[in-house]
Amino acid sequence: MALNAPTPTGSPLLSVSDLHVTFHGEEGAVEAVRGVSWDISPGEVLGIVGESGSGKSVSVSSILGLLPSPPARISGGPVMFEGRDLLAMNEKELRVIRGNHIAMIFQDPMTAFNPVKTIGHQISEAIRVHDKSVSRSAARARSIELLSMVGVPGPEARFRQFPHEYSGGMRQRAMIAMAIANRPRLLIADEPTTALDVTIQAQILELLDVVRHETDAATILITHDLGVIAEVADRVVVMYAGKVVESTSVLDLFADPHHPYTLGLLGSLPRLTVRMDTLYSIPGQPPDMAHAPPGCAFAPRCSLSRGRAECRERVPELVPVGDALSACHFHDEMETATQSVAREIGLDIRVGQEAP
Amino acid sequence: MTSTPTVDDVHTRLAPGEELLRVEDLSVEFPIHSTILRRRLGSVKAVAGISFNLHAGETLGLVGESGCGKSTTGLAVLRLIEHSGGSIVFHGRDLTDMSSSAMRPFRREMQIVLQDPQSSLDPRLTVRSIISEPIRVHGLAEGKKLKERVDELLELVGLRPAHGTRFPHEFSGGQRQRIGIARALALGPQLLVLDEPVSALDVSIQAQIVNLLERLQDELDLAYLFIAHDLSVVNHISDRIAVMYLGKIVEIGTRDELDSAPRHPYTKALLSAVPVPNPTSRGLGQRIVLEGDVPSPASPPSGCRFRTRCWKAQDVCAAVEPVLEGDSTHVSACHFPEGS
Repeated sequence: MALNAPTPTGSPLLSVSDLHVTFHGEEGAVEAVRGVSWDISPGEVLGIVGESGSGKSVSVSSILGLLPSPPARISGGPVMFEGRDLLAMNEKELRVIRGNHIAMIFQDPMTAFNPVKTIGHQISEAIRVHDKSVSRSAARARSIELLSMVGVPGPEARFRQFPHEYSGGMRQRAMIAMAIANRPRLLIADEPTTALDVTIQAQILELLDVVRHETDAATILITHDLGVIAEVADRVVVMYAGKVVESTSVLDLFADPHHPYTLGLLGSLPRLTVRMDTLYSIPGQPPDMAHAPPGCAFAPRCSLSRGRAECRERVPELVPVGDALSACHFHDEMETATQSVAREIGLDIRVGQEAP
Repeated sequence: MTSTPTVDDVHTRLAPGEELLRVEDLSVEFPIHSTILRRRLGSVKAVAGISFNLHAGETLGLVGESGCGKSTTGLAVLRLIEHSGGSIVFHGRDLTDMSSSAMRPFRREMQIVLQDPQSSLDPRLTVRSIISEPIRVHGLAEGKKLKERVDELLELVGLRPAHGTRFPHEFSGGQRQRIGIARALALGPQLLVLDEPVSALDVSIQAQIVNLLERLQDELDLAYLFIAHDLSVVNHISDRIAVMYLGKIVEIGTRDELDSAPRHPYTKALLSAVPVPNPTSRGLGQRIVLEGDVPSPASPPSGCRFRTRCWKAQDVCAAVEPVLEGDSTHVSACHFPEGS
């Protein structure tokens, strides 16, 4: 978790360009992801943060061909993984990528495991499906080793148990064991700790860090929790209404947000360590994506926009601001906006400036 | 309180700081039945003898992880589920064995807001009917007065009177929670039990509802029993906090006492496990990662229930159950409390 790691040069492991995902339903088309671009370097932890419906999970699932089509339709791209376009692959090619090179960890491990097969059987199967030369007994030994590595106590007995015999935290560990079984180069964790209690969340975050050091896999962490982002991410992509609104290093995001939405999110977080008079509240609610507003989707809720025509009419591009990328027409007014939030809540949310 | 108040007294609002609710040694048991023979095999003590009080105008946060009994406590305090022991005193009156007809006037004064407004609002009723229902049932207003009262409630929670004609599904999660709050306020209660009221909401909407609850408390002199698993939210909104583990309260104190000097190891671990939204403090704080899972409440450990996950546990912890001790505002149940 190198905080000050220079932006890695060299080619990215995965590079997403101008990705669009549209759901075609009975009531017309809804564009859930509206032109998203980012990339991730080998070994890096990229946090994708956003609220429900921001398109954070959909954008990542679509890349791996995990969305049923119809209703989902993917356009744009390319999505390059180690020199090959994932969007151009057929299902068979994608399946090889999914098990061997890119693995996923889901929020609810109960749905990821087959309830009528033992955990051990499923991990062994994951190993043998991708490498048929592995014998049953070797796969079994490797599975037990994996369970032990992710901290499942008594792995030999646990190998023979069914998913329902595991607690939530243990199931999450078992899913991580299955995900890393084939030494993937990219691990995608979609809200991996959201369903867990806070003490179990701490265990799993620690485990993900251990796993990353052991496997050297890059990690995409999808979450709504900025606290989790601050704990584990190297770089952060903030999504709102199907678009990236800000992208920067984790230090920069918390020290100097470049988009009013990021600022609003940081201001609305209750904090343990500092007292706030009140929480900042972003007025209104995210747009209904079936009727996304023209111009900037955040404009109707934005404290910086104040109804300016520019925001209502023109979609802001993601442009460089210092070391960050921001999609705001008035990003040069962020200093004033941050101070105005600070006056309202009694706290300057920028890390390093929290002096009361 | 020496004299027994008459029923009318129940509707008089207490002055801030007066004791509104006192819970003594409350326990709630759920039977375990065998699935085939339907024989009773035993019971789970979801709440195993807890005591706390709540003052008028105060917020007491009740925090703990899944299965610790915090929601069960909330329901039992309102007598929405039956308890198996202990007493509940509200406004100076013992509710413990009160009949449901005698409870009626008390119901007006103690209401609940649930986590999931989706399932707690009747989908077939308009918002106006949902909010009117308690007022009509208690015969407090009708006709034009009822309509005015509902309009007032809708505006109080940040909705418009025009919203009254719509159905719950036409609203977002945050707005539905506002409707749930309006319904809970309809009878002008003194106590609200808030059971995970913001847990299902996105961060930006969560802040709106937390701010709304704080404003309503000021305007209407409400006491809150705020039940949640999210320590940051509980910490922000509460005056005092009670920490529960496996059916027991392990520590109660003001939020400053808990923040700056937690005494029970579990409280300390819980505080340290909350992710801090500050990447520069990464790895600096002393994170205590507890081992293992919470034991089953059907067969809790002997002595201290936390001992199986506690790094300070000694033989005495298995033998003797610790009781809540400490000074007037800050108590904890541990044989080896922090800072002593």
